Amino acid sequence: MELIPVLIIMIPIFASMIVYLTDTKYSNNVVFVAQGTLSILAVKYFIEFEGLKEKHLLNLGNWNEVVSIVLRNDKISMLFIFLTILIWWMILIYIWDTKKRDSKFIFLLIFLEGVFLGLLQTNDLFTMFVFIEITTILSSILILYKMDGESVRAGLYYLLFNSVGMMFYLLGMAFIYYSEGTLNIDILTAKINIYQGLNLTNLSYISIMAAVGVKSAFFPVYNWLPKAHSAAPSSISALLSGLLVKSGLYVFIRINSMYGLETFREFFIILGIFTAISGAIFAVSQKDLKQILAFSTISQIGIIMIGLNQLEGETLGGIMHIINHGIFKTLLFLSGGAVVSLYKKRDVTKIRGLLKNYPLLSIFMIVGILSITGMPLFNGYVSKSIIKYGVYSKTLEYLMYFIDILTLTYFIKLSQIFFGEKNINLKNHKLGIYKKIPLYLLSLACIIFGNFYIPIYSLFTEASIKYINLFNISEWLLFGLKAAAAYFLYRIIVKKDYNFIKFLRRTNISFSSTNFLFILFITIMIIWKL
Amino acid sequence: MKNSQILVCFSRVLFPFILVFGFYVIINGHLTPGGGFQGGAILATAILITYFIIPERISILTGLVRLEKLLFIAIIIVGSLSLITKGTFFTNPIPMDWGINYKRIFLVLLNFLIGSKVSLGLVAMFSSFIEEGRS
Amino acid sequence: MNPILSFIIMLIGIYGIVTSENIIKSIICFSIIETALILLFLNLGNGNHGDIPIILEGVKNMVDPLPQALMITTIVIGASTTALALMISIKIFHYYGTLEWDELLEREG
Repeated sequence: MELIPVLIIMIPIFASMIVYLTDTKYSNNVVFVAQGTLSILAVKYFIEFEGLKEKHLLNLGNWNEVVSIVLRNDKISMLFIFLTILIWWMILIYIWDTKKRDSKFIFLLIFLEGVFLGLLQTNDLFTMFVFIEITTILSSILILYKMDGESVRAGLYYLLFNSVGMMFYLLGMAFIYYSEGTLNIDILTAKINIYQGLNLTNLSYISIMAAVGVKSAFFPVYNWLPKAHSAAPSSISALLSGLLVKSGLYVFIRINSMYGLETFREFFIILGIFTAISGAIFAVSQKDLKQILAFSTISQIGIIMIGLNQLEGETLGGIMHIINHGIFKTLLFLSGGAVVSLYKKRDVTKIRGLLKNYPLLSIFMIVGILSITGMPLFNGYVSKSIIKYGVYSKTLEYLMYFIDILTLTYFIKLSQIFFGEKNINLKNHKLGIYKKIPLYLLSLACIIFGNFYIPIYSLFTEASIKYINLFNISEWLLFGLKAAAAYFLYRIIVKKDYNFIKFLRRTNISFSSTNFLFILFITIMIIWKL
Repeated sequence: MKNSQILVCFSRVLFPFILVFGFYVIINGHLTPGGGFQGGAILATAILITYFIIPERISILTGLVRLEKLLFIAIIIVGSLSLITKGTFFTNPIPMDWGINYKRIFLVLLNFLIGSKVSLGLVAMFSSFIEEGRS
Repeated sequence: MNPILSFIIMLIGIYGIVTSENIIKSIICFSIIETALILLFLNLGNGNHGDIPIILEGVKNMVDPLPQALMITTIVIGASTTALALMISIKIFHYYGTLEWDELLEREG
């Protein structure tokens, strides 16, 4: 019972090795057994420690705490662990009986799950570095698995840029070790005193935050994300967008609570607004289905950043939006991948007639679109309302309404695939049963999380969220007004496809300019501190 | 592409010295700085110098890879020997009150296994690049 | 003296990566930055002005052994990232016929 955190990491790794070494056709069953054991262990762990009211530390090897490896679990990490296990179930059911699967793909996928569960539980800066680097290497192999030209290009860009970012994490760690003498997060939380001015501890904060910014796609340095997420196979795109981008945000939460700095709070809120607006503007100009969804991920990360940087104790909106975004972005990417594989094209202006040909698939996609744009009765509305309530100035609130209108605009642009005639050529392709089950379960999760959020979140937090009213007439009217404004914007500007929009679609920043923007990012943070 | 004659001649002279030095660093890991990983890297350098000396040599890649996997299993077996005598993983299986000459066996054995595994791994990695470039 | 040296090497690496036009040059500069950081880490504690960290008679002022253990892992991670990036660049040369960043990102598909 004490060793369950180690078992949670080791069970996927052993299962992946068994699948790789014995290359039989029973590998599906092995994976099913391993994943089932993992879920039962996680639930049992949560119940046994009474919901983890105080954190649970596990010291590996019984060494001194200053130098040992410690695994730690508290409420936030348990929330992330449950989200991880849920999304990996959905991906595994989705690829249950594709013809192109082989044992190497399963081996990499399940190994990645074990490493990711290890990242969520560490209490140690260096172990976090090792796990993030292994995640980068494994996911770059998974991105270029199809081995055609575009995937290989995207995979190399992703690998090199993230590795350069993590070098700055190592630099920050060197500064901290020199001034404090330990690398354990609990001891550092009690020990760090932040003085004013530019000494080593502030420099370490800046360089670690720059590395976290590369990993979770902040404003100047998000260029790797659209290339990587649209060139990958569709199940891997869903995994990347739904979960692996959130690993950067998890490290952000941990490091912020370790330092306790106040000067950078406004900086990150302004950065979140820039990220959200620029992501939305680029998404409006794209024509590829997967590129629209990839840029919408960037925009939602901006909203999460606004939610995570409120005053102390009101960060529930950001965390809830992480969970909700994981669920509905996975749903959108999986159903989008099904659409692309059925129609054999990716251009939104050329796919037509989804509602008449495949009604069930279009219902799932409509549920996803309504959740992400924040309609009441779905889960996007709950988290966005909590973030809007916590914002302290009126201009920020109006900017968030503007971001909502832009979100609705590009999803109206995406939903032109629903209309059209019934096409006789597509009658031979049908959607398999194994692809329908995860879409069904995820839509159900969207509706459940939108309505019954009070008993679910009262297990994980003590803040009260009873003030959100689902049946407020003014909220429904506000949503209708935003939809009308978005449709207006779409008809006037987007549909005509002006030269400005064509220019935005074709911009490409080379690798050296991206690194230059990264150095500029660090310089701006240093100047803000002074 | 021809290599220079001075490089080939000096590699022939240096090769046994680097080999002996690599083994010295591995085996004396419990007394001097060094140990498994550092000595393994030096051994890998020694083996890769032979690509300068004999340019047409084809090494036995599959045999090396299989030997490396066997060494990995051997490390895990030696590591879990302590589960029998003391009850925890990866500590010294020899009881505490025996002499120091017996307790040294575990350290030397583990250093040797890790050193050879590291050197074989690095040689396999570089060999596959050279084979790819040649074909 | 030694931390300043590693900062100079890191600045050379960062300059190389910001103005690189070839894929192989970016990979080499990434390796340079990583070597500079490993050198910086190994100089924490007493640098090379102390004794060997093994408990024998007459050893007083030990070098800190913890960064040395951490840096072994970092060297392995750096080597495997460099190897993977080089293999991917071989594949890129088969598909596109060029190894320059500008030409690579301009082509569509």
